[in-house]
Amino acid sequence: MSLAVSNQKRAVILMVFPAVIFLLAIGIYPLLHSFYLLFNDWILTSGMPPRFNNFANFVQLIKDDRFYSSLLTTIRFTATAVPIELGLGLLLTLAVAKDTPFKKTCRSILLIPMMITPVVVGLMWKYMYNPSNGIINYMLSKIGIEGPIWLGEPKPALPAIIIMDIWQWTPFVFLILSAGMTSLPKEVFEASKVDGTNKFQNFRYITLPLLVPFILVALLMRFIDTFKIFDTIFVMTKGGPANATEVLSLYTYKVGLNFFDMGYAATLSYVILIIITVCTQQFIKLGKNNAEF
Amino acid sequence: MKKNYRVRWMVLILIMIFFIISSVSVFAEGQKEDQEKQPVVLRTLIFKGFARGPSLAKQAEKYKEITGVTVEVEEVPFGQLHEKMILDFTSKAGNYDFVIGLTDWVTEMVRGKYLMPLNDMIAKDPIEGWPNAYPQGLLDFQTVDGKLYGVPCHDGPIMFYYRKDLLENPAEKKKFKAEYGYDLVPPKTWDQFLDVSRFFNRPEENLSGTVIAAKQGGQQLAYDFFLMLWSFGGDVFDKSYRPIFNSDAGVKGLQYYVDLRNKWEVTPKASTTFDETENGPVYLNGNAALMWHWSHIASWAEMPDRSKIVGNNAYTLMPVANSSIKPTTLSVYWFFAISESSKNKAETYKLIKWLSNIENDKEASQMGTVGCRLSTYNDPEILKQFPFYKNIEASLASAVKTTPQIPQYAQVDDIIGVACSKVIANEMSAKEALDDAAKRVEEVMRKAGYYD
Repeated sequence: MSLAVSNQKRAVILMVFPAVIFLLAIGIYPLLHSFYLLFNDWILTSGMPPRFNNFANFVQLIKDDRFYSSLLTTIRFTATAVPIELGLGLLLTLAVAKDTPFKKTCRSILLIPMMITPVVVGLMWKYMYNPSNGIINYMLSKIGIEGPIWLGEPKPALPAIIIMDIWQWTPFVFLILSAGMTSLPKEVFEASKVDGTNKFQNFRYITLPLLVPFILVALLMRFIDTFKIFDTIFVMTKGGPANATEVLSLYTYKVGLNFFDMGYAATLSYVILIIITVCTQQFIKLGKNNAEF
Repeated sequence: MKKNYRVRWMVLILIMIFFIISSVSVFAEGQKEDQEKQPVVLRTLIFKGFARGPSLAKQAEKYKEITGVTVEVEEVPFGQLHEKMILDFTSKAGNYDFVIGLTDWVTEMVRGKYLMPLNDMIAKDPIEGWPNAYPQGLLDFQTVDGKLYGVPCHDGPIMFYYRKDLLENPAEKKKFKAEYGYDLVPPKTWDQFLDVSRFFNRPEENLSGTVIAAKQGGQQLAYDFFLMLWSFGGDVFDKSYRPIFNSDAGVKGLQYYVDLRNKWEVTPKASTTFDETENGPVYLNGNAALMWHWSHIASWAEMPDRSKIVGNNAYTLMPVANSSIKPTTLSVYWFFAISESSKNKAETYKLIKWLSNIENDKEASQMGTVGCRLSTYNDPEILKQFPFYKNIEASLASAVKTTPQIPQYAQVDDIIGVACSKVIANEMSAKEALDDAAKRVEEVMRKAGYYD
C-alpha cells in the first residue's frame, strides 16, 4: 500500500514538473537575478556586464533623499486612501444589503469603476481634472468655486489622485464586504431580534465583529495595491508637480527604465517587497488572532 | 511488481520526451515555413502625436505597393518611447528593425552598440543627393567618431512665434506705443517679450500673452530651461563636464521663466500640466499671442485642419537677456536608423533610402513634418505654403545648441525638470533649486567616471 502511495506521489510530481519549471523560470529566476543585482553596479545601456560593488547600492539608498520623499508620499497615499475606501465600502455594503431588485441593480452599477483598466481610469480623470475644459472645475464654477489646477500644483495633486483611487477601488472593498455580509449566519440576527436589539446595536455587536475577517482581507489587498500603485500616477502626473505625487514604485521605474541603473532599481524594488511582506505578515497574524478569538 | 512500476515510469518519461521533442520540431519547422512563406515586415516605433506619423503611414502603404515590403508602425506615448526601444535593443529581441530616434539618445544608443553605422551602406548605395542633400547641422549629432548612425527625418529647431495679426495691427501698435513708449515689434529681448505678453494678456478675450509647457516629467521643461540659460548667457557644462547651469545666468533665466506664470501670469496657470503636445494647440487655436516651440508649429499653423490662425503666424529668432548675447536656438531632431538586432538590415536601409528621397521628404513636409533636405527648403511649392523653411536653414547656420550629448542625459533631464518644477511650485528659490540640481548632476557624472 505504502509503495503504491509513494509511486502515486512520484507520478503526480512528474506530471506537475513542467509547470513548476515554468513557474520557476518566470517567478523565481527574476527574483534571484534581482537579488544578485543588489550587490552589483549595472547600467543596462553601458554595454558592460554587472560589476560587483559590495553594498554601494544600500549606501546610496540610505543617502538618497528622493527615496525617503517617495516613501513618505506612498505612505501618505496609502494611509489616506485605504481607510476612506474601507469606510465608504462598508457604508455601501450596509446601504444595499437587502436583496431588493433596485438594490441588486445598484450593486451591479457600483462595481463598474473597478472593472475599468487603471490606465483608462487615469486618462479619464486626467481629462476631468483639466483646469480649463474638465468637468470638475466646470461643476465647481457653477456653484461659485474656482477649482484648483488639480494636477498642476503640488497641494491638490496627491488628493486628486487619492480621490480617483477611492472612486475606482471602493467598489472592490464593497464587493468583499458584500460577500461577507451574505455569508453571515441568519440565526444570530434572528436571536438578536428576539432579544430586542436596535439597528445600531446589531451593527456594533453582531455585524461588525463578524465582518472583521472580511475587513482584514479587504484592508490587506487594498494596502498591497495602494503601496505599489504605479499606472494611474504615471498616466496622470508622472510624479509631478515638484515630485508631489512621486511614489516609490514610480521612482523605482524611473531609476530602472529611464536611467537604466538596474542595480539601484533592484535595491528599491526589494525595499517595496520587504515592506509589503512584513505588513502582510502582520495582517495575517491579526487575522489569525481574530479567528482564535 | 517493482519491475512493472519501473517499466511504467520509463514509458511515461519516454512519452513526455517524445512529446517535447515533437512540439519543438514542429514549432521550429513552422517558424522556418513561416519565414519562407511570409513577405518581409519591417517594424518601427513612434510616439503618439509625432509630426512625421501621418506621412509615415501614407508612405508605408505606398512602399508596400511598390516593393511588397510591409512597414508596421507602432505608436506609444512619448514617455514610453525611449524605454521600449532600449529594452528591445538590450534584449536583442529585434522587434523593431527601423528605428526613429531622437538626437538626445544618440550617445546612449551608440555606447550600447544598438545602432548600425550606415557609412558602408551609404557608400555602396547612396541616398539621393548624398552627402550634400542635407545641411551639416543635421548630420553632426548622429555622427560619433566618424560613424554616421542615422539619416535626419524630422527637424526642430525651436523657433519663436508671434501672431502677426496682433503685432502688426495698427490700433494695437498705437495703443502699445502709448502704454510702453516704444514701437510694437516682435520682441528681441526678454524685457520686450514681457511687455508684449503683458499687453496681449486678455483673459476676458481668452487670450494669453504666451503659453509655456512646464509639466514635470514632460519633454519640454528641461528644454525650456536650456533655452533660458543660453539666452541669459549661461551654459550647462564646462569643458570638464562639471555643471555650471547654476550660474547667475541660470538663476536669472529660471526665475524669469517661473515669473511668467507665477508673478506676471502671462501664461495660463494650467501651463504646469502642459507638455509640448499641449501648449502648441493653445497657440494654434488663437489663444496666445507669443510662443516658442518646435518648427513643425510653423507648418501646422498654415494647415486649416490643425490651425485657427492660418496666415497669421510669423516667426523670428529667440529673444535674449541683452543685445550682447547672440540669439540661440535649441536643435534636437529625429533620425532614421537601423537596429543592430534587426534581421532585415538590408531591407531596412532600402526603406530609409526611399523615405529620405526628394519626393518623400517633400511630401512629408506638406503633411506637417519639418523636412530635412535642402531640396525641400528650396522647393518653390514648399516655400509658397511654408515660408518658414527659409528661416530654418538660416537658424541652423547661426547659433544653435543642443542638449548635452552624454549617455546620462535622461538623468540630467530629470534632475533639471524636478528643480524647475520645485521653483514653479514655490518650494525652493531658483538659486537653491539649481545648486541642488548641480550637486546631483555632478554626482551622476562622477559615478559615470567623468572626473577620474
